[in-house]
Amino acid sequence: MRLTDLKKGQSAEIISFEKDDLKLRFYEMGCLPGEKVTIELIAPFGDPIAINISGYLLSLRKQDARHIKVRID
Amino acid sequence: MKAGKKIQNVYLVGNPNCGKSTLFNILTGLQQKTSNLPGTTIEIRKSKITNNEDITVRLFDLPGIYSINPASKDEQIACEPLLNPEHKEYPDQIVLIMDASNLKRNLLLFTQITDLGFPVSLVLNMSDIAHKRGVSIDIERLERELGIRVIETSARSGLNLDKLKPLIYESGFKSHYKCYTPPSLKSFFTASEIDLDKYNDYQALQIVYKNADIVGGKAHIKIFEEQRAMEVMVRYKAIDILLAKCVTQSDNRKQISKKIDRIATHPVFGYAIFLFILFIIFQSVFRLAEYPMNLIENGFSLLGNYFSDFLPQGVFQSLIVNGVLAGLSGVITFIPQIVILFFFLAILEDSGYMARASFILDKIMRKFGMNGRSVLPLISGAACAIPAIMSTRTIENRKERLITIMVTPFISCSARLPVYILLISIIPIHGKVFGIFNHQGFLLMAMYLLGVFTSLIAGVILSRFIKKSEYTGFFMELPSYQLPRAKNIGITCLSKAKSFVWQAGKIIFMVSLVLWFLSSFGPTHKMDAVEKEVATKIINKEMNQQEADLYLALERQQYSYAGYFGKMIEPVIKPLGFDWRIGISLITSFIAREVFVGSMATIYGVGQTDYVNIRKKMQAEINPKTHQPQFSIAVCLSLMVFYALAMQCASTVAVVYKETKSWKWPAMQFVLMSITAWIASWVVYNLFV
Repeated sequence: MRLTDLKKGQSAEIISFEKDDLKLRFYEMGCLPGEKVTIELIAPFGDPIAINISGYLLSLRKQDARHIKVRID
Repeated sequence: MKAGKKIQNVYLVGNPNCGKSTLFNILTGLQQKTSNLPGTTIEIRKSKITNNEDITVRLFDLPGIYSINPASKDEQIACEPLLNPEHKEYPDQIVLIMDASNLKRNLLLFTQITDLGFPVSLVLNMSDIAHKRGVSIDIERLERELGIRVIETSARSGLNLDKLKPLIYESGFKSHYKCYTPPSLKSFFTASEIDLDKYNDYQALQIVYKNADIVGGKAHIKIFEEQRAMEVMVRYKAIDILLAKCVTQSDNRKQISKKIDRIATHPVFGYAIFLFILFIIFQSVFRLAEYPMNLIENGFSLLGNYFSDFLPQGVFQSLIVNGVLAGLSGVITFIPQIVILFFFLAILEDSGYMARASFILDKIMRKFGMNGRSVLPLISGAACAIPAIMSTRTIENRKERLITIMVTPFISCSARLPVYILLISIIPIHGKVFGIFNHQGFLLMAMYLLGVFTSLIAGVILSRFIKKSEYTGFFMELPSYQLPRAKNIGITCLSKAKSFVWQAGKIIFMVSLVLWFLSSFGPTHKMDAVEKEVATKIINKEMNQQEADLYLALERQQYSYAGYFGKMIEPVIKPLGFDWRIGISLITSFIAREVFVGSMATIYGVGQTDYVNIRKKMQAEINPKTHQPQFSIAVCLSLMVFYALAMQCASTVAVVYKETKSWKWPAMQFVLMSITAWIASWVVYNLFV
């Protein structure tokens, strides 16, 4: 499933990235395969979202976040 | 480092939001210079500091970066001093500043910097926040693992700030920590196009990346991108192992931050809070700035009177009073508003709130071709477009930043207010609009709304025409909330004001001098003739001195270059209901729009900026052709719309040039805004005439 399919407060583990040209940016910001990610905030109108990744809050637009594939354990 | 021998270049490097700039402020106070990196709007701050033993250090505050892999062209240039060993300000030492509460992501940059071969020291800043979050770091162990000096600081609690300076004067160590082995480069450079032997492996790799197009075109760019992603992954794996040895953490975001976030991003309260903050900022910018602005204006008029009395009448006196002093006051009167505005913006930024405001407004702003970070410049535009355009630097995406710069001047700035007030007061309407509203308040509000709507519509239209820049995603860190630090805010405000005065001020000042020349001199000898005529009239007692001065001022304006331009543009502005005299005002308004009031005063022979008298004269003016009042409803409305939408501000043009590094954008902005203003005024004029 995609990161954008998660509900507010839900956690999951990152599996992979679909979009090659954003992969490096995601990696640099700490979004790596195997990392635990939690949906912390969702902006009014549903976009963007803020995730808790390795201990900090990162805001992502849905159009970017949908390329992150995750697994709920 | 050997004392006094060579000035060392020391760079403060770190992620955004790690408190690096605050530490730079603490180290240097107001002894800092801000300059742009060549060809970009990226600001780099420098300062020269000396300790007691005569060691001098050139300290640089590099913009915050997450890694040395550039995400945009601008960021590439920001990394240039680190990546190019031939750079004339190549670092001798790097002091890495890290957010101690977020070591993992911050260490990525460290591992890259140390692979580049720099001596490095580590500052774990914001340690108070880290402690509160249950992060505890074994500093000694970290020093041993990395083989470099590590200190823990907190700008807020003042922890270890005294150890910061010694760290900068002492040369750092090269770390023995290695976690990444670059791939062999032999396959890329067969010929000796670039001599890689003098660089270390990682430096060489960066040079190959940078010259990807020489090395092998598109195919290689893809491979390189993949390789870089792999590199980051390898580094993070190693960092995890390192952290396991030195850090224990319970890894919890502070509950209070969570609670504030729940309200600040709430669908109802979030926007309510944002609007409330806006209201406070507006009130302060207009109300609080009024007093110092009046003081400055009075000061300049006193100074002007003094010079008028003191200097002999003539060109020199006019140059000093109407050129130099007018130019200086044009720069200095803006300062109170700018300082107050930046004061609030610094608080919003420092506390972490600004990122939340951008977060809740991003989706709405996207509809208008901008992003969440465009909100701040648009708000600032209501005070003055100059600081507003300067504040677009926080917008990473080039296209969205350009659109924000292009549409900001549509927002009615405070210089338009006197123009609106004068024109609204002479409009011959009485009674209420829709039966309830006082027409004056209604019109004023309508003018502001016109500006806001036009800017949003312009955003939509521009987003179709401006070339899409490489999309690098919209990644924004939401930093933890913290109480802003008074000293840091103060230094930020003052250094911004200083950079406004030096950078924008120079241009405003020069433009004022040019306009002074254009309105004081004319192409023919008419001026001399008029002066002689007036002189004879005074001798013959046909005029007293006061009448003569007014008459002379009016004639001068008519026969000046500005007057000629006014007549030249008359055919263009006639369809809007303006004559050449309004044309002169449109041109002289280029110094600052509020000059309109003064220029009306001269044209209608009032002699001073006295609202009541100008109003009476303007209302009494009869159009010689139609025998109707010259300032009819149609003309007044058309003129107001023109002032609302036209790009009549030389300073804004100059700032847009400075921020976009090209004449293309200010020129396009000028043309597009003028066309928009012309069409809108024409429509309004023809609706009401």
